[in-house]
Amino acid sequence: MQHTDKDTDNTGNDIDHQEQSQAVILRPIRPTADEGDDCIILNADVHDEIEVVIEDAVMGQSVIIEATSVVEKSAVQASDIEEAVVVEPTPVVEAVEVAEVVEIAVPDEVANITPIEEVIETVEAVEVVQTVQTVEVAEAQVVEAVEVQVVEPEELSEEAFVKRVSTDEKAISDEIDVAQGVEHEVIQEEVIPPQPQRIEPEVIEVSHDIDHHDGVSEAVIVTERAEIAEVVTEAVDKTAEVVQSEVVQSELVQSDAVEVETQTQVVQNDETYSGHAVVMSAIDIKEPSRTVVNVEVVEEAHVNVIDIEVDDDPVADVKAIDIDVSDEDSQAQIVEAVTEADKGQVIDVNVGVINIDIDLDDEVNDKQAQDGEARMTYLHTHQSEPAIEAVVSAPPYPAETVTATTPTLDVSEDSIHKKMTLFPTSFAKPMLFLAGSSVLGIWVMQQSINAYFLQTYHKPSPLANIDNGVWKAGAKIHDGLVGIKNGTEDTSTQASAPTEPVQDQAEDAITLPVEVQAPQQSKEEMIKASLTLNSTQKVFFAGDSLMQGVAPHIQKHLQQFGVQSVNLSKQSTGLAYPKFFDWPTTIKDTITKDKDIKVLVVMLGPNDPWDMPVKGSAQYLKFQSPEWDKEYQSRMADILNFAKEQEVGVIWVTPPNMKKTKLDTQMMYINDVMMAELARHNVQIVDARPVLGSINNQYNDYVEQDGKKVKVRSGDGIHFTPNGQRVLAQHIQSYLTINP
Amino acid sequence: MFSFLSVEFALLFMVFFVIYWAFYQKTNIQNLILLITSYVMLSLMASFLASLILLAFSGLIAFSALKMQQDNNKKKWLWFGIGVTLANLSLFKYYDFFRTVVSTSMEVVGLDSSGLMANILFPLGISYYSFQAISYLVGIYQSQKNNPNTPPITFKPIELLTYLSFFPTITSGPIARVHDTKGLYDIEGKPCGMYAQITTTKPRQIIMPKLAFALILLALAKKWWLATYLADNWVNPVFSNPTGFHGLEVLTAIYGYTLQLFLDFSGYSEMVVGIAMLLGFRLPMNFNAPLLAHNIRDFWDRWHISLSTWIRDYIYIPLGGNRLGFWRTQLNLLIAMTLSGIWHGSTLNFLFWGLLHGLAIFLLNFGDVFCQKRFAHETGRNYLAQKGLAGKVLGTIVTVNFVALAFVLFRATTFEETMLIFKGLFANNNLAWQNNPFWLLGLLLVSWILYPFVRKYTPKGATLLHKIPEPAIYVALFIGFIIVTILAPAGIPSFIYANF
Repeated sequence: MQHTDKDTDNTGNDIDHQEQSQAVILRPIRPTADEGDDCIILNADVHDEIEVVIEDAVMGQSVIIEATSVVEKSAVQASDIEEAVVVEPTPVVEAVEVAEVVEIAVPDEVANITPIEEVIETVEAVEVVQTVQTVEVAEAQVVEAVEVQVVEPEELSEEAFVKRVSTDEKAISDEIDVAQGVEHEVIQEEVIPPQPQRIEPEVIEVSHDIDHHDGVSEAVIVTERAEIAEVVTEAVDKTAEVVQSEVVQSELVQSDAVEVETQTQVVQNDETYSGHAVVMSAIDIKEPSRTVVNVEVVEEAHVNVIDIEVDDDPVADVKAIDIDVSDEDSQAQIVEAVTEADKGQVIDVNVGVINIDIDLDDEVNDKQAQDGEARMTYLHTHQSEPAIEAVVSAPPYPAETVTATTPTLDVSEDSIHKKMTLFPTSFAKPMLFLAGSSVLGIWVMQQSINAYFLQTYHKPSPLANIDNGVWKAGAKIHDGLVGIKNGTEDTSTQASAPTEPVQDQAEDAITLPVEVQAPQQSKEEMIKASLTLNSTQKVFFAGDSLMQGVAPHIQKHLQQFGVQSVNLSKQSTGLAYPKFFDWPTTIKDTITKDKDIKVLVVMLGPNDPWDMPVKGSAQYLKFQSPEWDKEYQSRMADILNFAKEQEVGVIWVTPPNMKKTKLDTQMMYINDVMMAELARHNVQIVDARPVLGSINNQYNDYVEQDGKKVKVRSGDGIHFTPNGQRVLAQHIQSYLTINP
Repeated sequence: MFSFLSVEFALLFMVFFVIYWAFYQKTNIQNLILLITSYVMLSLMASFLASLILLAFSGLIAFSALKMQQDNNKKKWLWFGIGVTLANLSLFKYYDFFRTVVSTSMEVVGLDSSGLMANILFPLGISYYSFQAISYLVGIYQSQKNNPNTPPITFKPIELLTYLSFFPTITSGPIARVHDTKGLYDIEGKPCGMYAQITTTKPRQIIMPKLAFALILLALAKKWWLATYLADNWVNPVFSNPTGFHGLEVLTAIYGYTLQLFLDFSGYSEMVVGIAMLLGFRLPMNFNAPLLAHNIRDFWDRWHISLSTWIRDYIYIPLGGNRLGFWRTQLNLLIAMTLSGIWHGSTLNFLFWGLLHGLAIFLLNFGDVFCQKRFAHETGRNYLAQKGLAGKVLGTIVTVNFVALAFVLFRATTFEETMLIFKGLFANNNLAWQNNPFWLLGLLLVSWILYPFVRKYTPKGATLLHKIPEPAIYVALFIGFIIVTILAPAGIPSFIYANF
């Protein structure tokens, strides 16, 4: 499909093959098969087969094609021998289209009729057209330098044409070295403003040899990547039935994939069958692949296939090559430039290219001239977008259409500056995604974020006060999702039901001083009795990360007596932020559900020394204010009174000293608040300070045990070492009496 | 707390992301932005002191590198640099360990040791930048030794600071080496030395953004949801009270812990790789399906690859590698593995853990020699795995069980705790189940069997993904993110390997 033989040139005009023969450009595309063979010799009658072989050739493999006879519509002459050697790309290049050396034997007649430069030119033009499309479309195409060697008919020497374009920013224009001494100018020039990515629907008429009933399935076959062109080409060659195929929609759906929707009609034996297919073509990360986006059949047997190759190599450098396309010479250069761009360079072509196909027939040229227009193919590329993978081929007829779709070239100098984009081409989408998902994420997760903010910064979250229906809907979505999760998981331990009105509890707390009056002796006995349990009963642990360390040791101890336990301790929890974790409710629910619970061990406080929200009030209670104390004590009382009602004994562990002075002061304040409340209840108080080595209320890393210093606090000055956990656990469990 | 999984990080990252890419045409300015951000992040994650320590440390490494080029006694300055690194590492990493020793000995001679009692917070990531510094210095030394006439490849000061503080890797790796290294490849299988990436003047590009986001999502799912689920429900309760559980539950917890470690750390590494890709950097993949390893050597080729290759290049090979005969090779292996164990923690348990792995590799090598002689196998290596599927499966089962049981030493900090866990494994068979261990064991088994197939077809799946329109992929990524946050237990998980 790369060749332009009898099929058509881009103008849609016939080429007279009787007079001239055109060398065929053999372009290995995806070397895959027959890796073992060094050489494939093919006696090729059918032109398409040649291509297939070449395409399947492995890198480094020679393909010699002996075309003994020529397919009717092929331009290959009987005696032509072509050899395509697929050479190794430079070692750095991976997953790139293979560089090639194409040797073209130019028959004498051709050489005589056309000056060699022109032949070369023409050859390049073919190369150019194809490759430009190839490269152009790619977002990050890495193109290996290509050497085109044109072998003189007689000597078959290597004298040829070597062109190279430097990737150097400065040298794009001046590095074209033409062996024949032809100087070409590459002028940095113009930028076409971003074009819409949609390809206009086109009508395709194809002669096709497919089975009449298979109109649909053929169309589906067409959907196979890169096969459209072949099918169409074949169809043209073996004209049988008429297929009317309409590209309903062809859209670039993303930077590296194209979707083509086709509607196909097959007419055979006066019956019409229609099929519909959607082509999705894409590239994978490592390998370039071809994506045929557009098949255009100008008229029967005139096929112009535009194929597109995309190589996704986002690391590659992006450079724009702008070239003046005012004359045919430079058009060839464009393509050459693009083709030969160095590895690592992404060609972001900001240029309208007049797509001049090989045209060996003077008459055609004349006709073209008469028509007053060359068919133009425009390559559109944004500066700020990844290169657009679309080549729009304007239908050649009627002429008005051409005029209408002929863009004017923007050659203003300003356009050059547009290339200095603020952000790289690959930036927009990821940033959009990051920003979009953050906003949506915050919207949906607002409650979690508010709780997190409160817990971390001890201030109401700035998002908490937004009173807007749309905003609140996000929270509802979240609740719905959590509901689904809980419905499937059946975890009921982490209840977060709202607290009961706090004020009532506060009043309850105040009306409790009766207990304080209780005689000391009987109080101790009552406590001991409440902490006596048998092996069928359970101990329930509630607390924060400190309790998480201590509880397992007590559990281990209880296990020896066959006493089961429930440990719900959870890091970062306390009594200050019921919205984050509501201990009073959790404790009540757990005790209500599990009637075997006989003893509750609580250790909280280190997460609480902050201003505290109160239900029904926007104002936070200030830490270390009488109101705060009262509220905190009421929350404690809520737990303690409930435990009393349920005849559950309580061991309450108060916070130890902390290493950081500020936290230590805060903890000692909470300690006092707690002690005041605990004194009103018949519960066992465990003061963790002396147990963990504090002397005179001073923090200490170590505890003296049997004359040895044992480290009990971890590096953060808050948590306990395993030894420290054990020391505190042993102390707590000593208050439990277990009856067999 | 500020970490890669916190809201604060996400917000800071977005601001940084915009500024960073606004300067994409000037990679040196990008490097500077990266440097400043890295230090800010380090201060937020650990402390301001930690960033000052890193700054001073980087200065000494730069000084040592400079001296190596000027002075004739290059070895002296190499050892100076390594000495600084080791001193920095041991001062903070093994501070607790040394402090007890020093304080006890001071008390013996009647000195007041209370001044030593002040705790020093362990500066985050110290192990990882230490590794990178050593690889940098040794690289310069070797280059000068081998090619005395060509100047060695060195970073400019700003570049060195950027390299050593590169925020994606600073907390827990992967260890990003200066030069391309055998065995360390990025997600596309390409070498990914940092020198070329940092000193480049070619504008960087975001590398495969969809894949990068997918990696980050995968990391969140692994680390935030699955690893935390395993830890909260199956591992932590059992390990904190092993004798209180049925033996089968203890076994489940042991397997669960291995999987938890894998999910946690490989998830973390993938997140780092993903973040780096968004910044236009390629970092080495740190894991390659280690739980499918068919022998213990294979396991270490697949687990924490950036560490094991570092140990290979900077401990094992300098010790002589395999060039000094069979027995010396085995000794070198044992030393390397034991040091790797000690690196993970200062208790004896970690030393034993490393030693155990070293012994396992020794046994494997011994088996190789046996297979070579007995079956006339060419090298004897991977003999079992080459005997066909059954051999490979058997090898994998043995390897993974060994690894899982050895990780008990890793999890339990003391010898007594370790013994308790094994006691729980074999003794408590009369206790009622608290969870149904068959449920998780069954799930693990099925996943394990499906795992090779999933890996095999992942590339194909990735190709199919390309056919999905880009917006759809982004929408799917977002939905995935929301699902993970809903499924994940509340709170920001700590990261196991950050402590090492």
